[in-house]
Amino acid sequence: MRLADLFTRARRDDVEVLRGRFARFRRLLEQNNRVLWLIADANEKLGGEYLFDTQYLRWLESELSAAATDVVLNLAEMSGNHYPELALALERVRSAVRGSLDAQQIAPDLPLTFAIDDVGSELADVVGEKMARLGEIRRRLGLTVPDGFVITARACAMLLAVPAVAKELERLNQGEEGAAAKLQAAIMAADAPSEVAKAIKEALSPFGRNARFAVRSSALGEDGDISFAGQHVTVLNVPRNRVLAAWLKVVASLFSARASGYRRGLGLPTAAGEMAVGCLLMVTARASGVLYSVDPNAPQSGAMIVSAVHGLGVTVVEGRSSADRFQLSRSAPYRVLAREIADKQEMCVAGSDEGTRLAIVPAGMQKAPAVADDTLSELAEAALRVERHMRCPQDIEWVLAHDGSLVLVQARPLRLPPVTRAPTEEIQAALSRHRVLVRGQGEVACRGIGAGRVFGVGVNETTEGFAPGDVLVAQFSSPRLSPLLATASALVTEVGSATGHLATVAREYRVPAIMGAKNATQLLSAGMTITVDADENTIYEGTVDELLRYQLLRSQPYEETAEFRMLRRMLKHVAPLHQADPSSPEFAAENCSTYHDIIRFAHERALDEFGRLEGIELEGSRARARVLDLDIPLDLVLVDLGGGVAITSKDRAVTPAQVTSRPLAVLLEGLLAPGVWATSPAEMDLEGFMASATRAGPLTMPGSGGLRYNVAIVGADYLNLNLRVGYHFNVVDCYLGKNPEDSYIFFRFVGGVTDVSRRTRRARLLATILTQQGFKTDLYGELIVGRLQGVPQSVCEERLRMVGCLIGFSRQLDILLRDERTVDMLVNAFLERKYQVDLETLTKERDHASGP
Amino acid sequence: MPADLEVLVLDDEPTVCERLKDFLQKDGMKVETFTESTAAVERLADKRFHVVVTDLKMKGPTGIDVLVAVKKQKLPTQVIVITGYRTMDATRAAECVGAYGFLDKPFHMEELRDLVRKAGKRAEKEAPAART
Repeated sequence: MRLADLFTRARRDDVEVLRGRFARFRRLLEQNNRVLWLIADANEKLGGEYLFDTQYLRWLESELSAAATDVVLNLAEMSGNHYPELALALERVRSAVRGSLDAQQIAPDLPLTFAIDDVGSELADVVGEKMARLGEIRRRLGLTVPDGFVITARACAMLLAVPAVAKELERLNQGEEGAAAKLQAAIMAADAPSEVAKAIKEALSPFGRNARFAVRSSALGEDGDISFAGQHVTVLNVPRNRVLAAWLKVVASLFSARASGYRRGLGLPTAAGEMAVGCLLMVTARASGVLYSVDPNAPQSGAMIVSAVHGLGVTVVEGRSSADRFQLSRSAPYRVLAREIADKQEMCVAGSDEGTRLAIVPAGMQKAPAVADDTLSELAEAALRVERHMRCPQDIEWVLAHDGSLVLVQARPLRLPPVTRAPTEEIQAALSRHRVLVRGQGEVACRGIGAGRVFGVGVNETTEGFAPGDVLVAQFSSPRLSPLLATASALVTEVGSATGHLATVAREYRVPAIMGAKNATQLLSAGMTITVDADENTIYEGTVDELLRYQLLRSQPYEETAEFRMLRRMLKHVAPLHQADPSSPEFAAENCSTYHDIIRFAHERALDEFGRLEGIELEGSRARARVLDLDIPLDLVLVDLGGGVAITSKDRAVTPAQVTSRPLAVLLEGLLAPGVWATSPAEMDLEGFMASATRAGPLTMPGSGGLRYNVAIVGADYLNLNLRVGYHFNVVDCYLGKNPEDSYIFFRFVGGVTDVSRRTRRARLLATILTQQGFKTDLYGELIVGRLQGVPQSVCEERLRMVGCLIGFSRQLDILLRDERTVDMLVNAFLERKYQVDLETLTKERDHASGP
Repeated sequence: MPADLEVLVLDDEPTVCERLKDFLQKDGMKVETFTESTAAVERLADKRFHVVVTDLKMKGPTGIDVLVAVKKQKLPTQVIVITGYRTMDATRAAECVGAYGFLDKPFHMEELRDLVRKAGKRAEKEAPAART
């Protein structure tokens, strides 16, 4: 145990308190890093590269809970239980995370309704697959899905618990004859629980008096592993005051003879409250129909099938009337390959009051196509977008509204006969015809296969000209690219890792992604067509249709499996960071809603606590806290845990020569190297805060409440450095051990104050340099985290020296980073050890380089 | 790599089976999956496989039981044991009975593929006739 080693060397009693507090601080840091690691690791699991099971999820839950609890407890001990709200927040997060692991258990605090805008795949277990998917399409794909809300499965469970209903349900479960019909009658006649009625009324309130709804079943598990297609009722054209009754009717259909028979046939138990119900605004339909994104009879043909009728599509779905049939190409511009225009004499329209009625199609329209070719190609494009996101062929119900807009009202996986044998030979033959552009570079962040035109993201990160379906190729994993991922077909970056922010977004949008592929921007030039096979970490020239087809036709996409869904749901309560800025009034224990928030908050406050302690100890000048006497204007308070400083006098000041802490000595070599600590006063005055803030002055600034000076906690082979230079906050944690697996450098940098573009440039610059030096680097907005591990001590020392240089060098950045091109120049300057950069020279060089 | 490697996958979580099947098939292997160990053991009595990939803890016969059943056949079939709860005892037991390898969940899919390939080579080497 490293810490124990450090402590055994302690020699004085009067540092007992300090030691105890440091032990807790150190433990807090360890557990903080543990949580960060668990989050990063779990995020990586979502990329499809790993096989995990529910046991892993339970393990993850308990590890996260244990580590976060430890963080909170250690902070409580350090601070004298100063943050009781944090313990409450911890409890809330813990119970939310645990709740997310109970597959279909309906939590008692679950809302009874959700607006469709708040619905996504992670809620499939409470709003049903059907609505979860529609929410996902609306939220992520930018396609039109009617506005509305979902009545959750919890409302259904409450209804089934109403005594009159529960009694009949019990009879059904006993297997009594005719019980199903009685149960249905009881449900339809039931008084809905008042809480549910109230929730529905509230959900209806944003909609106008004349709003009409389509009330559709969204049973749990429906359209998932089991399709239940057509087993449950849909009620169309429902006025506001009849929504509650329609809900009862749809829930009752859970127990229809048809649905019960279907369940029995599949060996499923009797339904038990697994019905959510969607209430979506009716669309006034000019035409409607169904699209299969793959022809089920000829899956390899590269065609999709559309059927269409005038008016509402009920008749198509139920196969009741003749419909137009089109075969479309799956490739842009989605030409019509074949068409059969039916004689459509009747059509279904919304009734004037409620429900639907049949009407005669005007004579002139009967033999005319229900939709124009333009609409068909728009529809095809939308369907392929859904297919790409859902990663499997789709069965889509669509409506062409009277205003000409295309609306999707249902999308579910199209079940095709399983591919019994992977067409390996066909694929291999196809691959041999395509040149490999990149192989085995970087790491896969999200598995899958995508093809398209390369859209190169340049240094200035402009995204103009990006078209849906393009492959994003970028130098940096900049979070600014996130919005493009909704429609990108793949993502390749040169810098970044599978655990970074952009990788997480790629997984959210299910975009095949390879991060950290060296030279990608040179090898993949803008405009060329490529196929990114993130299953095999290979990029091919051209479009490999065979691979794309294989991906589409293979079995269930991994994202749809129960474990993935559970992990996604769980991470929603774990990974997002809302508490990023300590200076914000929102930065408070009670606002922590994820484990990430909790540890971030605790970490910040722990640093404060540590700062407070040092002040006291220094006042009495008894402890071994000393000030490091440097030639540069940086006040650094040293706290020696033992073996970190050779004490020769009772002076409080220590010279660099007296530092025996190996990591600090090495870091100082870098920091104090000639030219590293730039002293160009004119520029400093430009942003005067910098010079003054690096001078600590009083140990804690009055009223600041935060750490306002620099602390290095040292042991013989350990360094924990907390620097506030200007408004940047920089942490370096390092241990130099004998074994390569023991040594590590952890580098964390958060900036502030300057405008966003400069902050982003600064983040990019630091990330580039760290990556080039072998650090695993991630950008979380303006937070940069770099880790170096598993290298021999000598390499570790060299990198630590570089970190020292970087700390000094980065002080100038705010002033210098005026534009994007400066970033590259500064990176080069740093790597060439030209630390003294002045703007004039830079500008001259640049103008020279870009000159004629 | 041996062509047409016959692999039996046994795991009580159907989605695990599906993913393994999908993944190994893409590599050109012939894969059969089972979620119940009794059914898998019956199938093993009928058909020779190069490699068996089995979960350790399941209802009914455990991964160790399956391993023992395979070993009793005295065929070159190689067994890879997957476990989410690797305990030293179970591992030692599996090693004694002669498992080809182990994988702890969660594992990287490529680790499994490499292990199955190697196990397949071993199976081929021990008895080329075992190919069906």
